[in-house]
Amino acid sequence: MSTTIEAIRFDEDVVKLGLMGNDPEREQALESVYEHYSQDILRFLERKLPGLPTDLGVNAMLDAFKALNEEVLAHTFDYDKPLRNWLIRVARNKGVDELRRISRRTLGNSEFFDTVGECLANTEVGRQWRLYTKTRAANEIAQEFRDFLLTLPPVQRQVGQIMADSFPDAIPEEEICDEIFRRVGKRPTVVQVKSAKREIRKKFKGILNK
Amino acid sequence: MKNDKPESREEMALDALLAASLRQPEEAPVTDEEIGVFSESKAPLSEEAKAALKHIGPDAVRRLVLSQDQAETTEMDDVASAPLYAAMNRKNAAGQHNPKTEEELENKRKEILARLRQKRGKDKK
Repeated sequence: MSTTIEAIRFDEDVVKLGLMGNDPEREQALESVYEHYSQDILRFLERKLPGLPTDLGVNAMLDAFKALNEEVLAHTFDYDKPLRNWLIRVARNKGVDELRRISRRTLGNSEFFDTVGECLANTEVGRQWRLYTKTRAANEIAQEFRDFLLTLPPVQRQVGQIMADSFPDAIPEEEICDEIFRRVGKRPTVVQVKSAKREIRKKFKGILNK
Repeated sequence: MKNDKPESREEMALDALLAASLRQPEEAPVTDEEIGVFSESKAPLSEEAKAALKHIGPDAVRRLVLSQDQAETTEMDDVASAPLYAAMNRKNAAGQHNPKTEEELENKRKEILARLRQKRGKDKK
């Protein structure tokens, strides 16, 4: 490993010069960016898309680096943009594509959010939520819930994602088991799915009532 | 909604919010502010993600880039060997770009170098 000051003190400008350089310089620059940002990109994907299976998250992250290399080679990359934010955005978009590809969703986007609104109308949960949206705490609550999902084992985490994908339909536990197997190649038991559903709802209710 | 029992309606509302919490981040574009907030959070990476990174190894990007570069060279060789392409692009030798692009890149390079010199000047003070 290089022990130059540049290697120790990562600087996006130094890396950008490398990207503009010859092939070995570009490769070295990309490696340096990867070493420095790969964990950040994956952390962002996990926090925003906790239902994205890890292998697909890693693919999305690598796709972002691939896109960066392509743009650099094609001279279309905008060097005024911060590299990390650019990579995070591209990886997030790729991650969303992957998540949509593996999901069997009951509703399209506009119908989905309309139905959410209908379900919240005239309920105590809906009333509470409106208060949170007024204080801008709604995003923090949603993030706290996603962070909680991340604390669950990967298979149980999928229960939450499948509940969200199939909303407003409540799909039977056996079908959730099949769907999890299709997504991550591991099959939980019906008891594990029931327990995960119970825990997910309990936790979310707890976060709302704080 | 179809279910009129108050408890069921409350449960359905809870499920609706739960689903929206997972679906909402897919819709909104990622802002710099959001990335800034995320950076400050210092949330740890999951154990599976750490294991996956270890599994692909630190040279994952080098392998990826090399395979992309090789694919591009092969593609360029195929295209460039076509007589019509060669006749149309005599001015653009492989690996070279049009003068405008070269000039823009050179300007950007100078701009970044100036910024770096400025930063180093500040560091020395």
